[in-house]
Amino acid sequence: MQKFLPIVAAVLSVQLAHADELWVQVRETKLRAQPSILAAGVADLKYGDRVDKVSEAKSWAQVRTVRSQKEGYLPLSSITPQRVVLLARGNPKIKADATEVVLAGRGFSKEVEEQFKILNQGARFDQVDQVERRCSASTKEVAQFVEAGGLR
Amino acid sequence: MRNARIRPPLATIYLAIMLTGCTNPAFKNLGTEILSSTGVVTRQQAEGFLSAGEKVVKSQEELTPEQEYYLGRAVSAQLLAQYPLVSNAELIKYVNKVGLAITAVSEQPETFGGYRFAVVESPQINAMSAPGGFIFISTGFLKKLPDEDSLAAVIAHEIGHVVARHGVKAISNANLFSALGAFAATGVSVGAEQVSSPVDLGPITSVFTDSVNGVVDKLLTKGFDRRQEYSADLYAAELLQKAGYDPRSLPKVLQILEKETAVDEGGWFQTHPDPAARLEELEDDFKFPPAAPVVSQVRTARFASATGFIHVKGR
Repeated sequence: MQKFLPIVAAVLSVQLAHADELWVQVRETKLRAQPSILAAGVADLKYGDRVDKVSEAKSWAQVRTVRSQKEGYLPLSSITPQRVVLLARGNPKIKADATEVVLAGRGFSKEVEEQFKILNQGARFDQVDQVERRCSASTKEVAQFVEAGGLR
Repeated sequence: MRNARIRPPLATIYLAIMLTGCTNPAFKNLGTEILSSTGVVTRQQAEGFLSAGEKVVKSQEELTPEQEYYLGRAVSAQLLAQYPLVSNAELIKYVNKVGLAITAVSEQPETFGGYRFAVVESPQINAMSAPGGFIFISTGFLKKLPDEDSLAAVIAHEIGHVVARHGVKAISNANLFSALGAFAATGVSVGAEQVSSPVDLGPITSVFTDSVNGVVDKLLTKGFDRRQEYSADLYAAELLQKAGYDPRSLPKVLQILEKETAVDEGGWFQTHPDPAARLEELEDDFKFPPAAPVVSQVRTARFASATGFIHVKGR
């Protein structure tokens, strides 16, 4: 039976939850002082972190972090009302209110990518990794670029 | 029941039930009978299992941002097997600043792994976007663009595809349904306990491969649906205006493309509707400002500096 044990590093469970409770659904983000991705960050958040909604306007939500009770803004697209539970490998005993669990999101994942790589050896994941390492600009750089170029 | 694990045949039975008739009460009763008859779970647990599974299917109308990210990585890996990356640091930084200045004013200012804007070596006029926010523009296209606002127009169009999830929609409904069913079969909770199924990555990898191929086929051969292209144009014009770029740079790019259709039939031209038709559609749907804003000397200078070195091979 052991061979059938989960080999994935993380198992994601999603639950329906209280309407004011929201979970971060991007790998990492910053709680912003203003409803703008270029505004100063007031706290670092990562995938699965819970926040409480204070208010909502356009495509942003004003939220409060559960741990540090800091208030700020997150894009609505970066949060979900469905509970995100990360179950670390080797620690599968985290329990949720299972009557509301709607997904264990192993789905398309790092492990599936590894299988895909074996079957598609011509695919250039090394180049994708390079894109992820090199193709970016910091918030500060973008803010300066916007200002210098007369953008908004 | 503690630490109960579903054997592969049981997971298969469950998946079959879910995919073929979980909403049919008669079928659901049959499913309960089958599951409880295995002796691995009680009848009550089997009922809970199926009920949880129903919620899985109902709640997952689309992929999560994390799943889109992995799909986008694999699609990008296939694209980059055909198009080599340009490594000029100044150009990469510049294109990413333009891109992020635009995504900053979009409804989705960040993605699971972050937006990435890359330049690929190709004489063809081409720009593509993969799910999760991987956006590519060819050196051949860059060389045809006169200024930063035109580059912003091309990038904004691709961002439009990402935000509207046109890439994910390229996955056939059958594949998506299979994917969601496969996810469901790999773990749900029953009662108050977490039930972990054995992870058989084969079926998911198969669905993943089909999904990647479906998106790549759209990006390289078939192109998105005509309505999706028009909506990406309209969204791009709105984004440009919101970001402070001249939205008329988009019709300007379409006019450049129209001239190029006579000499280039591949790349962008193979996968996008006729530029003249797009232009007409856009002018019907978007109210362009009457007068040109003052051209920013800073934008002109930095565009020239970042793109001046480009030498398009094969041209």
